[in-house]
Amino acid sequence: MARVVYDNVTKRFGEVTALRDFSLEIEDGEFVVLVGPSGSGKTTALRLIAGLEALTAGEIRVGERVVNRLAPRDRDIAMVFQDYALYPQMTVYQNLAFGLKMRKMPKAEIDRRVRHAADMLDIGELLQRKPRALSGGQRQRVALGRALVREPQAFLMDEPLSNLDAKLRVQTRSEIKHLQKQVGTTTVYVTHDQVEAMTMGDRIAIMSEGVLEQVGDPRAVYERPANIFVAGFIGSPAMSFARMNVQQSDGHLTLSRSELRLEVTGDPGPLPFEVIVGVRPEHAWIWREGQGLRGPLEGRVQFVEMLGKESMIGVDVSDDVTFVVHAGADSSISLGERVQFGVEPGRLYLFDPATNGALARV
Amino acid sequence: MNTAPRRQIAFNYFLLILCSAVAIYPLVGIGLASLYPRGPASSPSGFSLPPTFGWHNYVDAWTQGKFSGYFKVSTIVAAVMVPASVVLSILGGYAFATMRFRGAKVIFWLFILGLIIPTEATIVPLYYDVRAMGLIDTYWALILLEVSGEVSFGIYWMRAAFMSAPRSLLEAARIDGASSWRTLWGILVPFARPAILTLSVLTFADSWNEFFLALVFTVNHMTAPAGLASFQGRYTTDIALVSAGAMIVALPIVIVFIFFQRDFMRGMLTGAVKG
Repeated sequence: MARVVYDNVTKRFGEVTALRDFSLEIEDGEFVVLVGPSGSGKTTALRLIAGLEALTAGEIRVGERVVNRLAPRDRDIAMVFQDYALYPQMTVYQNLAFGLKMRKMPKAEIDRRVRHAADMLDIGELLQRKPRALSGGQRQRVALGRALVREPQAFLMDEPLSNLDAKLRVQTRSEIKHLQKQVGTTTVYVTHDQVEAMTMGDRIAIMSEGVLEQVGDPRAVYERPANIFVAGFIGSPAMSFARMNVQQSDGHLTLSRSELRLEVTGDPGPLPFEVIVGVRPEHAWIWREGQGLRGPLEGRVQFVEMLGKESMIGVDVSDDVTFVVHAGADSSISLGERVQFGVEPGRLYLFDPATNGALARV
Repeated sequence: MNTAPRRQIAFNYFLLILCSAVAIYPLVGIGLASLYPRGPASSPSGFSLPPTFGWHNYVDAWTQGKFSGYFKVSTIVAAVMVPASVVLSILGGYAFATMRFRGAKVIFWLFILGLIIPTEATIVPLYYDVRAMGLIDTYWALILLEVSGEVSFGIYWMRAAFMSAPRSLLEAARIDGASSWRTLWGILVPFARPAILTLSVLTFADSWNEFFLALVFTVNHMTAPAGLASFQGRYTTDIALVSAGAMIVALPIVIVFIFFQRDFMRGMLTGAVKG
């Protein structure tokens, strides 16, 4: 087990920069999730640790060793692939043992490790089967087992749950997390699914277009997004945004946009004349007096999504601006209706339109 | 669910039956002719059934046509040439499919050129080369020339087969610590087994059917088809006997194909059908 450090790493594929000046320190035993949309460079970052791609500039360290020029087999890492990459002609046992055999480990030790991993993953019954005779979930376990038996410095996981159905994904998510805590191996996990990132990572690193946007524990990233990209990416349904004008006068802040007006008490410090206001749907509610919400804001209902225990209402407040708002499951709001809603205090996120960076939360 | 309209299915069957009939027609004709009684009075034609059935023509052709000798040559050549060209094709295909090296494209196209240029176009300089090496009328002349001809196709074929393997499989092997050699023989070759078997069958058929090179480069080391040609020269009027000879020569390929039929079809479909 070891620390994994990216030090100003850049990776270019011809003209395309996949990763730009990327720095991240992953502590010994930590579970870090790299999350971002397609093309954000997260998989490239993972493949660079594995040695499956060569970096253009910078340095990667696993433990105390700089691994930039080491072959994948000499880096002492294990990887779980999206499609599992099990060797089709080998049995589960042989798949697990292959990496150890290549390292010329004594047979007795190979057997001990394979059986131990099989026990941990509950795949002892499957050892003599070939991968094609396994279900998706079982293949996924074998792929995890292949990483476990190696007892490497770090696990690298490239969207290992994306081929599983929704139910199995949720179950396996917690199993992987549990397993990682049990063995305590440093893990770098790549996913595009922000729910997966939030639920699994000790820390999550949000990436976009080859740049690290923010890194922190899931709660901090959710509560204090560093910029508009992170605010919009983390949280489901996504945060709603509106560009609004700012008026500040002794302890009062007024945000406005045509007929839309929002009065806020408190001093967030100096603000530009215009800000981008972000509101998470879970913090916006259909207006009821006496609930201590900020508002009311008013608009026309554009869509209603019934989710069972609650409904999500899309409210068109102004040209091109739609806020998504909570309503109870039994609410009888219909399309085209005019509704009022408010926002919980301290849940208005203000961003700078010039830099997209976070300014304040009021 | 099969949603293709009935009419289309019927048309597909019609087309397949027609193509099969065109392919089988001459074979059945020769098969029937080979069972006719010998002699100038006997006149096999088309699909007419012989007046009496007998296998004597096969016995006569085998002994009088000295096919045992031709078979020996063809067998020796195929036994050396097929493994050699398949192994070389695997190695070449692996390099072109998985390795990045300087000049890879140019070298690959040189191999493709070997596929495009017919042997007939290079036979004269080739003859002088083989003569200079002192290999005229030897097994080696046939083996080396056939191998060099086959690897063009073989490398092209194996490259495609290896490229159809998921990249993650190779990467997993690299991380697991397998060398290039081990990755090839331990991971990729088993993966591409159907394609390799298909290549072996095709190569065997090519080798067994070798006529032109045997005619040009050998006198006492004739392959079965070349032997058949000289046999036909001697017995032009005895159609029944010549037909029996042709059947004998064709038989090994038919047997090999029947034996590997399932793998052959799977290999042919590799890459054509996803999943």
